[in-house]
Amino acid sequence: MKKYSGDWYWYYVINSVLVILILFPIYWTFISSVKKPDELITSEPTFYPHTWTWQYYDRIWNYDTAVLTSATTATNNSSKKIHKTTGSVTQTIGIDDAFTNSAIVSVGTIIFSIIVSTFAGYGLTFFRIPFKEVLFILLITPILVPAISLIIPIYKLLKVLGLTDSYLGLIFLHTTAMLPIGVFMMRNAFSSIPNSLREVALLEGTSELKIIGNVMLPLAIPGLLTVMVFAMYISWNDYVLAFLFINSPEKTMLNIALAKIALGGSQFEMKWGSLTAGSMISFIPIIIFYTLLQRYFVRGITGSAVKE
Amino acid sequence: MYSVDLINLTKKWGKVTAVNDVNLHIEEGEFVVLLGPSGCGKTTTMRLVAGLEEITAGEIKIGDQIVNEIDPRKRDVSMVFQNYSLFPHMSVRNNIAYPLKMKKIPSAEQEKKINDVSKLVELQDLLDRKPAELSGGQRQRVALARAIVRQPRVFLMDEPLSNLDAILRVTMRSELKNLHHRLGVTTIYVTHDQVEAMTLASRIAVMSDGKLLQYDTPQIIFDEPSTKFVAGFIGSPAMNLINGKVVNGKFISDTINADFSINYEGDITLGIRPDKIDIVDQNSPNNGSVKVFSNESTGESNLITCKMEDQSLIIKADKNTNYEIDNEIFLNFKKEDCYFFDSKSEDRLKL
Amino acid sequence: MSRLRREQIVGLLMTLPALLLLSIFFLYPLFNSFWMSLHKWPLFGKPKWVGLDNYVWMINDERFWQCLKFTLVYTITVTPMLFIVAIGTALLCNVKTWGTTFFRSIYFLPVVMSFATASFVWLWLYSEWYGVIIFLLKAIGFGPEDGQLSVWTDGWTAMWAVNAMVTWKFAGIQMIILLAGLQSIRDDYYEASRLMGASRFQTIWNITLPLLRPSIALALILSIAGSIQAYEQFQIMTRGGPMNETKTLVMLTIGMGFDYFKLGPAAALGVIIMSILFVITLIQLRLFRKAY
Repeated sequence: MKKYSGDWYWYYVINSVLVILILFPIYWTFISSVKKPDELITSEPTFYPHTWTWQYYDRIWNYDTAVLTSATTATNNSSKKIHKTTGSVTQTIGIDDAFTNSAIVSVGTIIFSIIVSTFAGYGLTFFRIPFKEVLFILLITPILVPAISLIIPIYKLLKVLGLTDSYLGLIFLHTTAMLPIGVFMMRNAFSSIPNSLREVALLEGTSELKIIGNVMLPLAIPGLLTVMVFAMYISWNDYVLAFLFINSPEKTMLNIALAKIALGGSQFEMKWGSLTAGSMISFIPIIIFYTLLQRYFVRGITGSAVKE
Repeated sequence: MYSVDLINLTKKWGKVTAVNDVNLHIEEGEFVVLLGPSGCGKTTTMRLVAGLEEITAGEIKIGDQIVNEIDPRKRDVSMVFQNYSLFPHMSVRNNIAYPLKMKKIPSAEQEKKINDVSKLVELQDLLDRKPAELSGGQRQRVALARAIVRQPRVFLMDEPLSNLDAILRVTMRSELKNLHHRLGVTTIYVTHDQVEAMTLASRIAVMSDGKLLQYDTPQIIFDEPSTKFVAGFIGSPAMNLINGKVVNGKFISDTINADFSINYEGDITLGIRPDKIDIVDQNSPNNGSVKVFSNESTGESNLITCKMEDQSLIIKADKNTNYEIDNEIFLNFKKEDCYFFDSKSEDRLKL
Repeated sequence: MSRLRREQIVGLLMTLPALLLLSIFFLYPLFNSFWMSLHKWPLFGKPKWVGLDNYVWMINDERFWQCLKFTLVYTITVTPMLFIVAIGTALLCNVKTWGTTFFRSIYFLPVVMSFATASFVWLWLYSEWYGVIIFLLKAIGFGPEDGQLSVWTDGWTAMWAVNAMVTWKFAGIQMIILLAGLQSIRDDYYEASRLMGASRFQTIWNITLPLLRPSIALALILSIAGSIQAYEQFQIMTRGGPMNETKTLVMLTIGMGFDYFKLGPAAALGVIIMSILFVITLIQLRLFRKAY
């Protein structure tokens, strides 16, 4: 009826405006990463790229790390090496290596999180463990304590364990940060599977491990995917831990490597092309995860919302 | 007091027609019940009157005003929802006060109206409780109070008693009847329970598949159903409907035959109410025999179910009788107690 | 061995990896942070017990109060911004019609990128000479025609610039939380309200918002907790400047621990931050205790 169509009009108008506002920074970053320097560094910006170049991507991606490591001192984080084409640079590692570093840690975190959370969630659901509820609450507590309060003791701990400046150290830390979400999700996933399924399999002589693999996991896939999505999110996007606990240039994580580009130099630097290109590179894996697994992001958040 | 008119009312959801060309005139102060099975379109019809759904075609008038385009807010119609829809975060008092608050009625007047209404439904002691603390029956009364307090033009009630237990339902029925007598507001009531319809309505509108089948007083609907569906829907236990044919003016089917002459030829459905069938001796005049399938004693009577080829028959026998399962019994009934329906169109045939 | 016993052991074994991680990387550091905060940690030599000295020193340090004040001001200003955008988009996305899922996924998109990346993106937008936002601001009359217009030279504008970025980035999460709450409100409450004469605004005010209280509480708690722990956004965009005006508590802690190696006071600061968070969360929970 005509009376109500006015409403729909406003709905689409407001939403369209908001979508444009929200997407604009990302769009802007993208076109900035492909504009030629002349078009990029100007006080009259263009709203779509008139020129096109992949040079920034090429430059930061293929930066030669080998040249640098031999000359870097161990304790100096932001070594300033003169780069041929920009005059001065604060990039200390090729983005391809930084990307790989972050990928290693993220994948490691995903794998560890899935294993640890699945086992813990399974155990807490189907076994009569003493103090079950207490243990569960304990596993959720990390979410209440800010990481910052623990970094000093963690630093000492890593030193003692010999895990400073290592992928493994970071993976452990990220996995620990994932515990509340992971264990919560997997326990939920398993408790919604009727116990009778497991009991039937046990009666037929199946080992516990086989039950987990063949019966439980397939049914718990939504939970697993949610854990995976959050593990990726927490690990890939981490800044503080990667910053504090990884020191050698060749192991620098992606976020930190990009930050060095951003923080160094002055406004007149050519760094903006590099920075926007780097941002896009950093953004791509997580946006792939998001596009494919969007509902698991949402599920994870509303899952904890319902709990509260 | 206001009348309500539904004129050629139609509602389609894409290809599905939920309400099909319904025409209804409700007099001022009448209590009309929309009766039918689930999915027959009765609730949709009521929601169209409320304005909660948009009309595909037709008109709705309240009094002399065509309300099609008017927002539900402004139609001055109030509704009691099936699950009461009491606002959980407000006390009973504030729930009842809500419509008054929305109309910006001054609080002194609000107070008075709330008090009057709560006396009417006996809620005075519960005013400060929250809905979660109330029983089903109490919540229902709050819902009623909230609907009444505004003194609307029309009351709409969507199966308000269906969530109550059986005994409470009977009590509330009489309360509703009394309330309607006192307030006199035009009411449209939706239900699938034919006992509620029979006891509460001044007129019943029987619906099925979106169509209005019959619109008459309860007694007429009971005595003179206009279609096979209406006949089978009203009355408890339901009317027996036997499919057969008339050959040479006499009714025959697999087991039941009738001796009396019928001015018709061809397929036909014979309807007879369970209490109008007599069980007789083998040697007395009878219309056929059937095997007893089960016996149910209700305390007032004995309901006997018999199965024929592909139909079943229910007979309401005297409470002191007992017929063993698998026994053969003989039945007899009179033509004047029978109803005849066209096999295809299902309309009633006056024969 | 009884079946129960076996079950208990197997169950515990399954939870062991998680418990190990928890104990080593969380519980131990947690207790250790209290322990460390009560000692002095000279670069060479053994740690020395100093009781509450570190705390006293911290409370007497002006920098602490400056950072605390800024962190609180930031929290108080960014929280309403986040909330308003979140509730607005949540209400919009609560409509069941074509396109809603699409809009919802767009609004959530900035949440997905890392805080660091978001900072870089906005750093470029705000760039004094070449940034688009600067360009637009100049176009409407702010700042000199030919020259740089910097949001970073004044602590106040710097904070608001960062607030804008944070709102863009995090409103999505709050939106999802509020949306979940909105969708749990039964439709017939809205219908009943409408029939009783309430306008859309009256319905939102009297029905929607009160019933949304638990979700609002959760969204606020998360938002405030996150704001108090602010780090990346300021570290990357303002580096605490100008003149430490935009330095947050976390930045202070990290600087103290890793730049100046004053481990004792840094640990103390960590404990203080934890306590502040604890108290604030407790207050919020009390305020929002009644869901209805």
